[in-house]
Amino acid sequence: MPIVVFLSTVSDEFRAYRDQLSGDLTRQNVAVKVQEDFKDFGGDTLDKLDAYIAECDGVVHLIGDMCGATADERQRRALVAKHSDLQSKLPPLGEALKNGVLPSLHPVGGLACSLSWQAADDRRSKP
Amino acid sequence: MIAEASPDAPRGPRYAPTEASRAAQAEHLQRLKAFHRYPGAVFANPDDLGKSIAYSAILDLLVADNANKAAQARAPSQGEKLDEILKRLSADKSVPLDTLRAILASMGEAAASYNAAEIEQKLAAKASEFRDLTDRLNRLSNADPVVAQLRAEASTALAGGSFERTDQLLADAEARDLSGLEDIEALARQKRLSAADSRAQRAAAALLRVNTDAYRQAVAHYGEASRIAAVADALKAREYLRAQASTLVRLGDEFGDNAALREAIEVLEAMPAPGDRAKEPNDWAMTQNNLGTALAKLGERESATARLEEAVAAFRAALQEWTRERVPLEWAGTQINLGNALKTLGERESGTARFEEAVAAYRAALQEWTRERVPLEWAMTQNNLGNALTRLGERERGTARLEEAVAAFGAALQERTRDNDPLDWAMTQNNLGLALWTLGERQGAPARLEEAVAAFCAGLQERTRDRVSLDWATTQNNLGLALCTLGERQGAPARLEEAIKAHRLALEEFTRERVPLKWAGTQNNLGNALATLGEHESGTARLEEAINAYREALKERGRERVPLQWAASLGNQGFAMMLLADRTNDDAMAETAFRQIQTAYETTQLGHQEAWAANFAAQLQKAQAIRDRLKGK
Repeated sequence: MPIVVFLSTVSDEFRAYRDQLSGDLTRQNVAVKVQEDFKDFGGDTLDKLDAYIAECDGVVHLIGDMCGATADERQRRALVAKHSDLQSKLPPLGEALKNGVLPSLHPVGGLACSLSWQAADDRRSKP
Repeated sequence: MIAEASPDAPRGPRYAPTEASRAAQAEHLQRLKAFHRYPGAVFANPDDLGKSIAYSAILDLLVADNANKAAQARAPSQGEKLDEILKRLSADKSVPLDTLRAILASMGEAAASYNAAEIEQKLAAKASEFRDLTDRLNRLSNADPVVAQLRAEASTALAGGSFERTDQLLADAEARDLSGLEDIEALARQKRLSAADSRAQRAAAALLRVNTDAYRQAVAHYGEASRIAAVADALKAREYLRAQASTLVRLGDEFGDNAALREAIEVLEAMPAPGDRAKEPNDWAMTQNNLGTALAKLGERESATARLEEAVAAFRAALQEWTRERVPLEWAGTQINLGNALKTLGERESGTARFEEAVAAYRAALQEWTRERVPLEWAMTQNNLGNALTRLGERERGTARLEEAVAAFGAALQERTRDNDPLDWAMTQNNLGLALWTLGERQGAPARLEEAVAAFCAGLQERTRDRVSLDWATTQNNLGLALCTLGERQGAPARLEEAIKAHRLALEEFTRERVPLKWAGTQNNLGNALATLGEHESGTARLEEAINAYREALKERGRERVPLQWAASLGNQGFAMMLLADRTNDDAMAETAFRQIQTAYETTQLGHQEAWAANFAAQLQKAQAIRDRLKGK
């Protein structure tokens, strides 16, 4: 079973990256998924992303100059209601929500990744 | 993971940022910042990004997390596991479930510190002891029907798991025998021995409970049994004293009680009286053998070698009476004990003499402990022989000893199969892997190194993390060593990456708090793999990581505590610093690197570690050249 990584990116800016990464990382037994991969079964985009990303093992969020569309208020409320423990599981996010800083539709913002990944960045090696 | 594009990173053909999109992105970053999420990587192109992802520990963490989740999904809870173990042992060993539950309960809170496999092992041993004890209680004939009845009732109470009731009934039996001692002289001896026997059964019943208080009660009971029997039968009294000493050794062995080991030695050393050896040579030899065992166990835990020397002397003394002609199986058993003590001594000393002697002792034992006669003991001896030959091979030139070690492990694996004895099979696979790794390193033979990797991987199929966590970590570390050598010889970065991953996995169980020296050793090995990869790669990150790993290792590998290991990690760190200084033109670091390697060279040479010293001597020349270049000489 490969590790499934969701690449959260604005297609117009980084589409080529996704294609090359799919090839390179597959050799390391990592499958790369993007928003366009999931099938549309109807419903809100934010909810669909949530369900799709829940099946992935990790999220890599690319930051460039362009930003994805922002989810509307209703979708955001629905997501927060669906994950009623979100605030206790992710205290910084809970704090931000309490202060009125709501996440955008951008997937990594919406799900705030998994906190356990944070440590991974510290050990990253970059030539 | 959040990765940020550098301004010059190529973009797609439809890339058209506007002021609005930049503002929206800035707002998005502000939101991320609000819940403490920040970019952790910067990329300039897709290759860069791919490396950031692949070389980050993110994948290691994900793989480990996946494995954990899969294991958790598969594994039943600890309670279910224990219940299953109790039922299986009850059926296999014909021991009542209530008894096994009571034995488990006697472990109290300590049970939480054992994993399921360890608990099963302890319970299996106790089940055998229980059967022996109930057999004795039901078989013992006694002229006094009341005493016989009390013993039968004690056996029933034991089967119901009622240890207190068992103890009380046996105490009543003993009291009944002792009460009539003065009446008739002729009956006194028989009644006294019967009372001593009841007291010894109380000791055996106490030993079924797995806690130090119960073991201490057993020690006292055997002492009293010996005292009661002494007037009637000196030989029997000595037998009880040996049982008392064995119980003290078990206390030392199972609960880490060194004071108990010292007490055992005192008991055994005080036992022989002048003339005993000539009168009762078998009894005398048994006492010497037991004394050797207690001394060896204590010697393994002390840094000084005096106890181990004394153990060797005690085993050799036993062999003077337990000769091959007179008692071949006992002779072979003592040869194994002697071999083990000599091997431990060999590890503490330089040179090869002790290992040569250990090999000779194991080979002698194999003449009587043959495969046909005692297959499992034969396999154990082959395994021990393999380990002694590996150590010998490490210190000698050539490969003959290492080839012999591989053959010995191969023999052991013919009887220690995965089905019959999974954990011992895995242990021998691990040992085989180490012999093959040393052989592969020496011969420069990738095929041997591949075989070593295969042996370690085989071992890991049974040495799983949830079953035997420290053994699992040991084999992960060893796997890392073999992969590192393979990666170095083949110039294969992927192998080195695997080695790094294996060492990092090992460090998850080999923590500094739990096993400080193993933690430090694995940090050192991790440093070696990182430095080797850093040497092959451009850039400085791997070398910096290597230097950091050695720094960690040196926190526990102190100069006073383990001088040779200290020197090795110091020199290894110097090597990584030398490479880094060369790439960054850092003359101060080059100077430090040179000095560290020089110290490592001098220390390992003084410590007769010729191979290490030669390695550091070669590095020293390179370090000097780099230092001189950077100083403009």
